[in-house]
Amino acid sequence: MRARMTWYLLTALIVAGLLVAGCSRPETGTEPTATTGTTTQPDDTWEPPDRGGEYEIVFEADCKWLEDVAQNEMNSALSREPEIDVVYGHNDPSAHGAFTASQQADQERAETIRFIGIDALPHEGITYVEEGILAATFEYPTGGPQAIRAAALLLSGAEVPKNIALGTTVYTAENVGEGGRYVAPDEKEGWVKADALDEMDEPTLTQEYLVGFSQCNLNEPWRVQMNADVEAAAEAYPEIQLSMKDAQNKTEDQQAQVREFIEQGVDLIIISPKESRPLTEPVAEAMEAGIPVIVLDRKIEGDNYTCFIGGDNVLIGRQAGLWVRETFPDGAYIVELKGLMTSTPAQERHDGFMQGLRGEGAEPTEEPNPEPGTDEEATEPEPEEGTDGESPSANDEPAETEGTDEEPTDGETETEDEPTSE
Amino acid sequence: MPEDTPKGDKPEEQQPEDQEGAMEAAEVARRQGPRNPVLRFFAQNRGITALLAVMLLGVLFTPQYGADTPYLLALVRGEAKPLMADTPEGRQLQPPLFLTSNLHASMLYEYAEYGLLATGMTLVILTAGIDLSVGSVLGITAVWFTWLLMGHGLPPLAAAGGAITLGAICGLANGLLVSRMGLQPFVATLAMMVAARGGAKVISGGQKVAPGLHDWFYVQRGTPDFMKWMTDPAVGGFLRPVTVLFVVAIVVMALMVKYTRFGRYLYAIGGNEEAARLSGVPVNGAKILSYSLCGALAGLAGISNACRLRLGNPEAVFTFELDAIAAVVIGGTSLMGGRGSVIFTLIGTLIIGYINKILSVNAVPEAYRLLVKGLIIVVAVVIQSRRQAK
Repeated sequence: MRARMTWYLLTALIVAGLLVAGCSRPETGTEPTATTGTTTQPDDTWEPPDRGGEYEIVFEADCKWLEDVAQNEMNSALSREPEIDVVYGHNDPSAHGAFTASQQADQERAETIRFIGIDALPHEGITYVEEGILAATFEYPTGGPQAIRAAALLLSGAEVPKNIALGTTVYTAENVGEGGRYVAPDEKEGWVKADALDEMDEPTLTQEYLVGFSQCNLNEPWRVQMNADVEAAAEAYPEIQLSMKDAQNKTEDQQAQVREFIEQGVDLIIISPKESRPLTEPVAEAMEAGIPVIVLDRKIEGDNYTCFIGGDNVLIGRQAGLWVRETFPDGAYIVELKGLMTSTPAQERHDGFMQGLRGEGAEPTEEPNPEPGTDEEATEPEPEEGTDGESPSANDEPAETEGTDEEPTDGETETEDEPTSE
Repeated sequence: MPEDTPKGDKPEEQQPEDQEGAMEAAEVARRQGPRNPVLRFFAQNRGITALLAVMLLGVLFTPQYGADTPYLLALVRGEAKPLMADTPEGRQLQPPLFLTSNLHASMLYEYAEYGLLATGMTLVILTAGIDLSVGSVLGITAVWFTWLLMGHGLPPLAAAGGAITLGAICGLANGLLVSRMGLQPFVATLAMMVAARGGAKVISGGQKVAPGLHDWFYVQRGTPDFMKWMTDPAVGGFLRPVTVLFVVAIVVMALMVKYTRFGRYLYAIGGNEEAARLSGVPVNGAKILSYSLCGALAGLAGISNACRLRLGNPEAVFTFELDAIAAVVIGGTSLMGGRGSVIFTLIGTLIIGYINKILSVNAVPEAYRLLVKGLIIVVAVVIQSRRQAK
């Protein structure tokens, strides 16, 4: 009978599988990895391996920002590669997934691997660094505090630079207690470093102002963090009244929101656009109506806006690459767990990382002291603070560039940043 | 073609008859398959044949340990390492990765959740229904399980019971909507798919549920022992409890579908719902039970997922429901209902799992993986529809 045959064959398959399992070389544990076995307490006795100065990406996979996928890919990397020194996740969940996968596959081996990620949300990356899960995490700043600062300056009549570049903050086990190490943004033509905002005179506001803030989507933790940052920063200016709106990932809603703000006669609009092209028009209408517009994170087309504030994924990726160079002076074998590679942030995080591995842009790293009151270098993690109640959703979302509104699959692209506490 | 012309001249009635007769004969021959019993077995059990083919591909196209080219390619290029090599630790085998236990253990481990979802899905698809909500139900149960376990410090079994119950309740809701309210399964479970993701985010406040999420959490640091136990190799250092859970669940479901009255009801409903109703099959009850079981299995998968990730992720296995449906279809269960079995689904899961693993171990770019997956689904469905055409 067919059914019985099926059962027999399945049993035979399982037996065969077990036989193969029993006969084949044990993958784990006994591997002749150079670094394995020497360390159980990585932080005390760990020494960087000697890879002859080579920084080689031995395994890479597109994990679409998703932790589950990162775990599976890491398993594949572990079963194939005898020597892995560092795992670079394009976001913290990927790095965490790689960590748990390694732990579950072979704990001893896991302790010889360093995991780094990008995001540095208080509840994710920073906590992981504090717990020793990640060796480092790199902040993707929300720009919320800078947006409010720029808004206050504009409302007080001051001039604000047109394009403002945000830096990043590096959190490692050593500095996470002190709030990380701030890295200033690159010099770029037509761009001004965010630090410049803090050097400007404290704005004096003489009357009440209404500021409209249109967020494209509150369904990912990073954007929730942006809202929290904006609200926290606005507390410093009691004259500023915020009107927060969430477009729920719908471009049309966001267009309508901007037009409502214009009708309402707000004094200033802050927008974190979902898509660049469709929102260019409403922003232009606001500018025509004499309302200054601050654009956050994703750009709009052309330059008909008052001020753009955005982070730099290349810079962040480069910091990750430099961290690897610094931590592994004699080279390293690297596993790269990428974000959705059709999204700009993932591409930039990859490109920046490769630059960092080549040692490009090493100087900015040295910059020792962050400007004193920079909002950006969020002072202390204080994990509970910013995120507690809010942040709906976990993963996801696409890139900060325009074309990405397809679906929520693309994971936390732009996630990250911690709460800037004052 | 020249032969066509004379045929065309014949009276019209005769031609179809001739063709039909010929086709029937061919059909009979095809159904019986080759004379040789071994070949006939493979011809009749295409799922198993396909699985074996995939495994053969696996042997040829996985790299050796420490290499990054597929074995066959390395052989052709002359780069392949010897199968047996002297290393400092003594003589060791260096087979392609597919012949190592590690790869199979990790594949079975990674695809355990997926297999659980597909198993539940099979029960529903047998009744000619579909359950789009399994991925979301996995998400909500994973969050609920970690919430109970880490947040409230419930004993693991109680937390697991809570998660399975929640999954079953979601399934029950689906079943009621489909049977009592008469909604299309697609619509009812689509609603549940969206709602359960929302529910997961409501429970967790949109965060991943991890130790120390809130001050009052019972677990502030580290990992609960239960989660470690679930994911540590147990059986012979090879299979993990998560994998065992999957195997046990699938065997129990297979036996149930095959040997209980409920199982036969599923086929009857899928074959012809009206006829089943008229012959006294409790159609609504059986449907509700199948959706509830599907939900409960998604709950089990949620527990597995939470143990694997060490946290409850409300976005866990986003779009997995489609993969689960693909596994069912590749196994050969008909989406029209009434045909198929849980064992087919096990085979489908293994096929998809192995293919993904082979692609992953070769670090094949995402775009090609999607192409390959799509092709496999098409091929599987074509085979299936030819079988149905008989």
